Amino acid sequence: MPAEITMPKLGLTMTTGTIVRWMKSPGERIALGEPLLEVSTEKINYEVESTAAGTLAKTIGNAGDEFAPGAVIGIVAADGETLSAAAPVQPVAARPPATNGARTIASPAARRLARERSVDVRAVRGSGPRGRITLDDVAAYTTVAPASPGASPGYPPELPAARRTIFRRMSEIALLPLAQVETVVNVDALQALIERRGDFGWTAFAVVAAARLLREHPEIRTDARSGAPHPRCDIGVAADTPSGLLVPVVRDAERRALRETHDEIVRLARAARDGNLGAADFGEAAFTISNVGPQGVQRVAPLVDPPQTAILGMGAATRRPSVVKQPGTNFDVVAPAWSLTLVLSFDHRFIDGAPAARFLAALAARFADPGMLL
Amino acid sequence: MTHTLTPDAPLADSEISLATALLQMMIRVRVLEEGIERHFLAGEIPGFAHLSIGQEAVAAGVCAALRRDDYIASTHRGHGHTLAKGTAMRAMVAELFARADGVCRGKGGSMHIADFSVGMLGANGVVAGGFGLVVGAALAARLRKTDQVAVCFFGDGATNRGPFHENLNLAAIWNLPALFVLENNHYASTTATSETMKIEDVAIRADGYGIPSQIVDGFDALAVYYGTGEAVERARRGDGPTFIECKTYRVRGHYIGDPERYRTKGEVDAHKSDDPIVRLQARLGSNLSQRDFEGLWEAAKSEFADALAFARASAQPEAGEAFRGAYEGDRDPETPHGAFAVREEAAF
Amino acid sequence: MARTISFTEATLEAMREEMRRDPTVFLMGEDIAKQGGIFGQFKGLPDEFGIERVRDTPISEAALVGAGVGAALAGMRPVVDMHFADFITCSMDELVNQAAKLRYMFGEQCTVPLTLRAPDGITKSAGAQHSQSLENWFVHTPGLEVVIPANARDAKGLLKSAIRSNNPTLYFEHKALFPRKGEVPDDDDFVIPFGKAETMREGGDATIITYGITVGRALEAAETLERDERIAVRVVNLRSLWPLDYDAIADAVAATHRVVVAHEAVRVGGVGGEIAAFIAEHCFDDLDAPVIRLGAAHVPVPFAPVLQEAMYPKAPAIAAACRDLVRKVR
Repeated sequence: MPAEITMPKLGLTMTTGTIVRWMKSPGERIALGEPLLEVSTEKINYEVESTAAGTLAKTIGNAGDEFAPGAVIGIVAADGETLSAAAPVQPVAARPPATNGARTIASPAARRLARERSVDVRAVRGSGPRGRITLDDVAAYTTVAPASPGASPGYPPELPAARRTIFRRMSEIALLPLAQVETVVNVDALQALIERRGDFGWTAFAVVAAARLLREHPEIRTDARSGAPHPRCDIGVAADTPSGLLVPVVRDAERRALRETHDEIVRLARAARDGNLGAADFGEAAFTISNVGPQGVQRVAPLVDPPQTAILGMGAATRRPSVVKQPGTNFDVVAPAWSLTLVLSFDHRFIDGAPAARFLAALAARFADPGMLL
Repeated sequence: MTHTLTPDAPLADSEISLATALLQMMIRVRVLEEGIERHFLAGEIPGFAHLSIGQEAVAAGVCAALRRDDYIASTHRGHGHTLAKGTAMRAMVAELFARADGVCRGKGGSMHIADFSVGMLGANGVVAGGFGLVVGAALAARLRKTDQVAVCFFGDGATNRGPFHENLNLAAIWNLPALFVLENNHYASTTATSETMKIEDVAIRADGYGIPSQIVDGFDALAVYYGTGEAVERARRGDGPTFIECKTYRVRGHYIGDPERYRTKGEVDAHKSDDPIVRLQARLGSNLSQRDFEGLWEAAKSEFADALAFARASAQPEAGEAFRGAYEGDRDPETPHGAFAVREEAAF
Repeated sequence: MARTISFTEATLEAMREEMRRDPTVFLMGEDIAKQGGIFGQFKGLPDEFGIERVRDTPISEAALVGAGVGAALAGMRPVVDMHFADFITCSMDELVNQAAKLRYMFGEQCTVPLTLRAPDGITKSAGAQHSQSLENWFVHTPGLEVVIPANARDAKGLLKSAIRSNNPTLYFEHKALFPRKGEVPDDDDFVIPFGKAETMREGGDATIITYGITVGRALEAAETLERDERIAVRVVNLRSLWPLDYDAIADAVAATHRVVVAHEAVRVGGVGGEIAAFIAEHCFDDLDAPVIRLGAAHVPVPFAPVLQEAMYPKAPAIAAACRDLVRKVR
């Protein structure tokens, strides 16, 4: 009998999986356990391994197509088998999970591992006979959701409910290869400008500067789901609210002026604090900025917010010793100046150190010389 | 070769103390058996009990001719043999009462009573179970080059089982120092010998194996003693095994509670005059005063009373004892047998 | 230091060493002294120890075993040879009702240091009454020890331990193993303790728990699986069926999660059942698949070679069972 390849269930809440790309083509040989295709969910991308050895006879669905878990997306024929033309295979809406009536069939060892990792065994796809969930099914499932200590999807009992999403998201971030580049900028000029004009603040300046630069540095706005640059330059702004961190989004920031951006940020922050953010204010952004200046702290190295691949952390403008040229001379002197620390955290799977540094340097140049923006 | 001793000849002076000792032993066996009967019927003895009342002369006569280091193996009807070989009455009664101080720690009971300190290799719950044990013990004596002998007590029923034949043959061809003592009480459980064999004297079966035999009046303790003595001498000399058929009778049922539907009361009554104790007392005549005769009974009863009190006061075996004693080493939790006994006990 | 000798020679060495060491050890059975044993396993012993200590008996299994028990009670250390394990049936009372029970029934007044050697197993169209493996009857009889060597080394070490043991011990030696050679230590005090299994091969994908001649078949299966399919299988040689090394069984299940229990004896009611039930009860959460038992079919062993070979498990069947577990077919 030819073997069916089905869309795996990659998490308790997964409703659909999207085919990202096929790694084998019909007619190619495939071995048991060899990666066959890549699928993505809201949370993560996943390589599906073949559960049969032989020849990939048929693929159902192309990149971008969505299927429910359990749907048949491919057929592998064992050596010597052919697909009968008279029996075309239709995508099955959903293969029933490994249950027998109301019971989930799982081996004792699989159940024990599921208990230890706080996994609902019913969520796991079974590769054993009659759909039995086996030890390695549970083991594989729990590496999709990171299994580092303390990062299990089981929530700590005293955790406020409002923190659950953050908890889960941070657990997922834990395994990402994040790197940082950092620079300290002399912001005397920008400080003076902000004081003089009074209609925008540090965050707004960062948002506009970053948005415009992101247009020129597409790799910094790579979307981890697709691996392609996010088409728009919407910027998320981290806001501290009574119920924790929220990240409302300034849409189309590259096209906005400083004052307009500032007003928008203020509006969003208030709405966030009051719990009044609208649907459009949330969600997809290409990049995020986290400013701890209002808290009087000099430096923050924030964590990337997937599926974004970079984030800017900025501290408070602070009086610090600075090396400057004595006016009218060529001598270096140490003089007090306004100083700002900028940190760019990035996902090294998509962005290398040099492009990150170039972006940050360009951004820093705007902070040092605000006239470039105006 | 078969021969019988002349009964009822007057005793020589040299025989008086022997006869008195035999009488005393038979009285002790009788008192013990009657005591066991009473207390079994009173519910103090679990399991089965098989009484040898009427057959005391065989136990007393044979064992008196043996040394302490000679071996015997007995049957399910072994109380008399056990006592006559030298086991303490206290240890026997405590065993029947299933107490920790019983000679087998309460694990054997009446049918499996044994006392290795006096060479008693056990009563056996399997008819004909003793033949191999005795042949083996005789073989051991031969290999170790001692002059010990081994005696197998058995009944007429055992002579129809395979091991009887195999072991007699083996003892004969290897010339072993074994005695085969048949207590032919004419019944194997409920079947009379007239129904279970074509022959009258079982001793002729010994001819078939080349073993010399005797037929002895099993109610005559002296006759049994002399016959045994002869056979023991042969064996110690290295001249091989002897078969001794003791014609006897059991006046009680096969087991306590046996309704005895296989024989008439008249038949039983007719054997009352065969009481070996009465017979030997008569033979002693004036050599034993009535007062001394009664004194033997008093002493035996007093011994039984003491044994009874001992048994009743003795503790029940501890429950954990059930799981130990099957293997050497199983009391030590460091050994595999011991470790398993611990797990087994915990599982219960 | 070790030498390579046959299983026969290994048992002979064990006999010789123990008979030299302890004068109470003696040997009896059919066709021992004059013939030297039907497999040559007693050759030369009468010459060294004399015919008092190496005795031919008539065909009288009941007396043979019974006398063995009696001699053991009286302080000797008898080794009784049954000729074929199938003939133990002719001495069941002596073994089961006497040897196994006397120590316990008599409140530990005696020991029964008897060793019963019993050549068993399927070979050369010997037919139904000369081909059985009956070890499970005696594992089921409290009071007896049961050991089964798989190779020359086991043969020597287990036989020496059996003779030295003060408990009645059954030593089942598969007839087809006699000519097989293996490494045996030189040490004349080399004994294998009872209750300790030996892991013959390591592997993480599944375990074969087995004993006796099936150990060799299991190793063959494991070789094939490793070479052809990169499946790595642990092979556990129990050596001692009673006492049984339950810890080794539990360790194997914890390490590999998939188990095949295999023996040549009939599968139904065999020792494999005791092992599988133990695993189900005490190692349940370690199991990733059902425990598979392999054993002979529930029929007498047939005479015709093609029939004989069809009804008991050999290396291919053992490999297939392991493969089914690892490939999640069962």
